[in-house]
Amino acid sequence: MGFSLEDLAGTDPYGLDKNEKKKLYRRALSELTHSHYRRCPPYRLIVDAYGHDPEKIQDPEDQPMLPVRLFKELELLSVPHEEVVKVMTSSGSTGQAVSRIFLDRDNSRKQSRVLTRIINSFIGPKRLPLLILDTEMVKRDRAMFSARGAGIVGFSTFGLDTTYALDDHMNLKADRLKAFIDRHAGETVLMFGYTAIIWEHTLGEMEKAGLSFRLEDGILFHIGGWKKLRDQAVDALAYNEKVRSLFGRVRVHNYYGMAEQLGSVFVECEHGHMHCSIYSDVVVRRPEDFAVLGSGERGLLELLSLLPGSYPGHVLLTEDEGEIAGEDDCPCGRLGKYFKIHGRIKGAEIRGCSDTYERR
Amino acid sequence: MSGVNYLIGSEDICTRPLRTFDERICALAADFSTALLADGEIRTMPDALSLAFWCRKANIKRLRDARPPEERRLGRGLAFHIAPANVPVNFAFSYIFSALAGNANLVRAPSRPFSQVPAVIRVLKAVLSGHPEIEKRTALISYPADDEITAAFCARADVRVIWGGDATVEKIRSLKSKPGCQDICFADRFSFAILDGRAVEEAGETALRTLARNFYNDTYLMDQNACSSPQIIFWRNAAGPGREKFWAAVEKEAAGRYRLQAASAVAKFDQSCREAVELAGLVKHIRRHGNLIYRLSLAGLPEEAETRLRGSCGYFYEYDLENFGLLKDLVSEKCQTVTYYGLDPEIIRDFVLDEGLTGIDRIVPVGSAMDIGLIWDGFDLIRSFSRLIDLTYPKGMDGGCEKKTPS
Repeated sequence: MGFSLEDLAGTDPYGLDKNEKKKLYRRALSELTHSHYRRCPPYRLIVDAYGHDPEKIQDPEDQPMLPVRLFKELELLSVPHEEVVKVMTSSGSTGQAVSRIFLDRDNSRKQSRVLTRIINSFIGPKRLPLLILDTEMVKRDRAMFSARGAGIVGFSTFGLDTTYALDDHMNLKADRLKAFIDRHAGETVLMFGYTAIIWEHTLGEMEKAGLSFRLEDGILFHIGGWKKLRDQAVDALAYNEKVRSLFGRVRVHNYYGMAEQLGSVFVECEHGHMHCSIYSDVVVRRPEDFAVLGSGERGLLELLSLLPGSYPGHVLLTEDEGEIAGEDDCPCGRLGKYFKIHGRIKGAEIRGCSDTYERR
Repeated sequence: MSGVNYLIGSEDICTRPLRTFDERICALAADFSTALLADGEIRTMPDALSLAFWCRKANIKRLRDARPPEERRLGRGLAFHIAPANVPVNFAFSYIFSALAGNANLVRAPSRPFSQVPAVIRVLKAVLSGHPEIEKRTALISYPADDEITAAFCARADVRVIWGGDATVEKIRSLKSKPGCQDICFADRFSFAILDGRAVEEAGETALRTLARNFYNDTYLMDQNACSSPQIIFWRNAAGPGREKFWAAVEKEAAGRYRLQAASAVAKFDQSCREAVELAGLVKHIRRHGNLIYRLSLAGLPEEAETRLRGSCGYFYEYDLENFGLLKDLVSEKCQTVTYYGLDPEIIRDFVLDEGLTGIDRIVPVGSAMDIGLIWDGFDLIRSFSRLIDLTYPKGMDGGCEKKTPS
């Protein structure tokens, strides 16, 4: 009962075409909806209020979705509390409520296995020397141990000689960086960090200090919001160029994922396309009525994931805008949909009588 | 004062009051109306046009004539207005009402960048130059949120007009004012509609379209976020196709006019899911018409319904109202406007009076929720803004009558 990872163990993470994937998702998502409907009372209330019938839903697009914000507002779990082994919290902007995602052992294991399968398909099965472009503080400091810390811990499993580029005060440790790169001259080097933090604290500081390296073969995975960078008019192209000008030959992979669906991440390939793996899928919906949009049409991203078993997060409506760029036809050879993300939707300007004095 | 930008007038505002409905202020209102109507930019703004319409000569005359002629009223002096930041032309209504009462006025203009605000100010400024007595009693200001500046104005004011809901009222009231200062406070309010399903069912195509347009104006025009916009729709005679006919017509109206922001769509969807859980047992079902209309059909009302049931941008609660008795439990002092369709409004008024309800100040037909006037939130604003000069003759004079002026 339920989706088993073993069913897909032998399948390449980007190895299912449109029809195969649809067949899998019809079955797997329906099973998840059933399971959450039975085991998560709040989820059942929502499904019932909207008059959805879990027995009748077949197509992935028809599965009832939950808005991601709901995980900040309600406690949503499909297992007894005592089976929860980890509660993930989203980082969230300062002062905002955080999501709470309840993971049981099985869900947690699925997340790390799937992340491994996806990342390994890019870097190979061997562990590589790993440079974290962040501070080790996020691991130690409980207050900072949110999705950011978890991301670093999660990624560390791909590394050897894990080295942090920043000290506890977010200052670049040039000596440590140099020593790491010298130690691993000629090897493939893995780097990991958060998009905006890398830009400011590593790339920016290296540039100021006149520091640069000539890696033969580097791989950078970075994740996180682009808002700060967009405000400075930095796009992916400029970002990648800056990385290469300071580090040498580096394959740069931006990836996308949310605390609400850890594990089944979306990774950008060498052609700059953000890909769905076999573990996840994306649907784009028109804001006016949530109708499903086609390729090239901009709308709200709905993310589907096969992993969430202990909380009803398998079908989530995000607050990010994007568009499908293609399916099964990327020149990189990976199958599945690939898409573009245009960032968070603009906050609504609402008229009304309240809140006059403090707001500007 | 540093940090204060005078859009009209200056710090040397004349605070000497005028008589209520002084000819000079009536003349200004009439000219303001004419100038607004003649302005190309204003003509594209429905809310600014409603201001122009309200200020027209005939309307002012009608309002003046409706007052007891034997009353001798005078403004209180300087009125300081904190206008809502997010209702574009409300500041101008607040100004005109208080000016008609005879006050000098210091008005803090809304801070949000609405195109209506500079347009209305531009017209008012030009008109004022032809009315020096009113001009010297008028100042329109803007400044960033700053307690020190607000406190300084509060200390000078004879009347404070505080819009903007509970938080603003509490904030401004905490600032010192003259001991005799009159505060007119507009707290957060809650409103609902009572519609008769049978009346909707029987309405012809044109009447239905008009009803939908009126309902749209009561709600979507201000993102359903004005105090007088209905949150709950109570249905009388709910059985039958009237209800669905109504919503279909509203959807049609909104589809052509409302610019639904993606963030609002997501917020409504999120709220509906959250409330399916939080109002468990009370939600019969949720229907959405695209993302334009969300309808939560309720089987019962929660505790503190007036604070809990708040929708915006087209998010409504529906309830079958079999008898008015339910309103006794629902209505508190927070309740402001009842909009109605297809029933006798006197029944509602008499219910409020007979049961001694602490809320419901206005009972208006669907389409009039936003019509602001001299009676608002249960206040007769002219009276609240002015002083009555009481005159008593010596006993025995004038046939032994003690008082000439009614209180």
